[in-house]
Amino acid sequence: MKVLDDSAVRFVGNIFLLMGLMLFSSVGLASQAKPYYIGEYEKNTDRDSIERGFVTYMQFCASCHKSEYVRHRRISADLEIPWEEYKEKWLGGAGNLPVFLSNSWTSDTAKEVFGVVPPDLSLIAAQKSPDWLYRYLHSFYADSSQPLGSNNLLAPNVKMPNVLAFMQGVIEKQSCVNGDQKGADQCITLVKTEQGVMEDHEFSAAIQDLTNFFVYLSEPSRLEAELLAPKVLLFILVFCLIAYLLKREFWKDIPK
Amino acid sequence: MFNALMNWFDQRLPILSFLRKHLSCYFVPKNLNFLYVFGIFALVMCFSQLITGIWLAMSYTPTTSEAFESIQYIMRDVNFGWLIRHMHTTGASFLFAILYVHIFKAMLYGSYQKPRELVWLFGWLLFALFSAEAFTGYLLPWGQMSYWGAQVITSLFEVIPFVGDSIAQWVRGDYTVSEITLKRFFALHVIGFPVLIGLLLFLHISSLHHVGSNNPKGVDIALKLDGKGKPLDAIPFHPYYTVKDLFYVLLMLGLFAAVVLYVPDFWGYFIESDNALPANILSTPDHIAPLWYFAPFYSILRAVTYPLFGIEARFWGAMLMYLSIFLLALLPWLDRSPVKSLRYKGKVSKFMFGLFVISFVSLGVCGVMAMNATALFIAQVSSLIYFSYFLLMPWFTKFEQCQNVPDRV
Ligand code: HEC
Ligand code: HEM
Repeated sequence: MKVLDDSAVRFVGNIFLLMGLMLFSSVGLASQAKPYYIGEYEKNTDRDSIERGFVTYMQFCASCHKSEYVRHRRISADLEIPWEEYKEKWLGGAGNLPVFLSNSWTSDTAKEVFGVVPPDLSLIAAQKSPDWLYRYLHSFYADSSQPLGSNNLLAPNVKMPNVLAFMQGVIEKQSCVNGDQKGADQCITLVKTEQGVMEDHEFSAAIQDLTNFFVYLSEPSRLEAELLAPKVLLFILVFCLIAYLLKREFWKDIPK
Repeated sequence: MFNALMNWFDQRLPILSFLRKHLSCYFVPKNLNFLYVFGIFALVMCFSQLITGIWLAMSYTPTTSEAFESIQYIMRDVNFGWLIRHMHTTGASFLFAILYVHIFKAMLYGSYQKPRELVWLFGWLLFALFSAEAFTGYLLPWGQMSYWGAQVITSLFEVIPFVGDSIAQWVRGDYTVSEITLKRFFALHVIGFPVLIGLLLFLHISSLHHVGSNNPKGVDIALKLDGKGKPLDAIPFHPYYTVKDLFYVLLMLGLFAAVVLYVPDFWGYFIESDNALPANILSTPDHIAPLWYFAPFYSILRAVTYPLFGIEARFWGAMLMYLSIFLLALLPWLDRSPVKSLRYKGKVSKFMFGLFVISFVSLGVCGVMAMNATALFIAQVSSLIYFSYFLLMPWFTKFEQCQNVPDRV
């Protein structure tokens, strides 16, 4: 290290200076418009995560959306929530209990209010991909040209209000090219302009949970299948081995 | 006591002699390789489809208002309904994959040649019937892709000049795919085609057992017999091939179980995501594609884009698609080579067969993709190769130089 001469030191110093300048200027830009980063959905079948997703669903989605192929009993069993507790918490205790994840909208009233019937979400993760769902739930932004004041990058002119805005904060759309109109339409980024009640990573975790819940909802048997799989495969493997030894024994007498 | 009972039976119904004739005294070449277990695989999968199909039919309702719902009922409420349904959907894809390898083997070793032409023809009919079985079965869940796939394929009949509309209506029983179509497809899927398939399986295997299996070298083992009239290069099917097949069948079932339990939709190839939406007559999906196993033939259909003699391109596409399947049936008469196995055929045969396999695979790849100019071009070139393989075969097999076939395996 001692043999480094002055010019080399200056060179390295200059590079650091340059990097510092770049960093500074990018921070300067970001304070105007910090691009809103949406991570990747990571599949997991963690029961606690699914249960947190279920709570979010019941609080913020179930009032508009039905999931009519799914029984409350099934969810209480799969998520290991005792039925009494489940009933108290989500179905208002006694009386005429609903069997399926439904609500009181009829298609006519829903159409009147929203202009469309909010889709049934039982199979949403199979219809769209889980990744799509994860991004969709991140991609609402404020848009004053829309009747509801919000829009969605993945579903332009969507007639669903941005119900999770209070968690996520205010997201706005920004063109990433200045000036040129044509390019501006093509390249759009989301920027966050106001903090919600959750930090970004907390919100993403909540959406991750919600997406896990929808993945579970579209194929509840997934949990059971993955429990069964190793047993079945092991069973077949053992028989396979026996069959292989049997085969080798018999084929010993056949000359090549 | 047991022997006496068996004898009593055998005198009235020769079960024992039947088993002897077809298992322990049925002689099979000793050099059959891995490709030869695919026939057994196909039998095992047929059986699995039959059993799971029966259980599905117990809870399925063939009406437009309830079909989709009854599938969800099976998936969510019937005990192990999800397992039964996923075995049935995965089984269909496995069966076709197995059949393609089975056909590949027969083409590779010239098993369709004399004296096995009937084995081949019955096999070909089985393929046609399975295609019909899969097509009718796919409508039953009444999802978006079920509905629109059936709509596209049945409307192919409409383009036939003069009588097209009547034929399409006759097939569907209605002006469009409707509950009438659903009900008749259900009847055909659960009773009509399976009965015919059973009959043809019997004919396929009987005709095979009458002449015996071919082998990878295409050597006729019946020409070299020992003193007792048993072929020198043959071994009894039981126990040698029963234990060998058992091992491979278990291996295949392991793979099958892994797919059924871990990735039943096989990333959209075995169960399409659009089929998770109930059929909607008012909204056509952007990209209507058949399941992967029909993709090569669907590609041929789409490759034709020119109307001819004032008739729509679709009509000619459909004709070519049917022709592409029909040509397979003619193979025993198109191949005029003196040798069976590709191993001893000439260079041209080897080259053409290689091209044929590549073209078939590329047709398949193009068929699952959304249509674009490149895919169209590849599909057109591949179709051309596909047809030239069959149409040129009588010449190149006749005039090429073949190698000598050994007289023992
Ligand atoms: C105020 C009522 C309302 C609430 C609450 C609501 N939605 Fe929606 N949602 C709608 C409506 C209406 C649509 C139909 C939008 C359209 O088709 O334009 C919709 C559509 C959707 C879609 C389909 C979008 C598409 O393009 O196919 C998804 C997914 C969805 N909602 C998820 C959710 C989730 C998750 C929640 C809970 C966090 C939720 N919704 C809460 C009204 C609501
Ligand atoms: C569900 C459908 C089918 C079943 C269950 C089936 C079953 C079988 C079985 C068990 C064998 C003997 C084992 C073997 O050689 O692999 C066989 C042989 C054969 N099959 Fe099939 N098959 C079916 C479809 C087909 C099809 C579609 C074709 C061709 C178009 C075909 C052509 C042949 C031929 C040529 C043989 C003789 C092979 C030889 O001896 O080399 N089969 N089949």
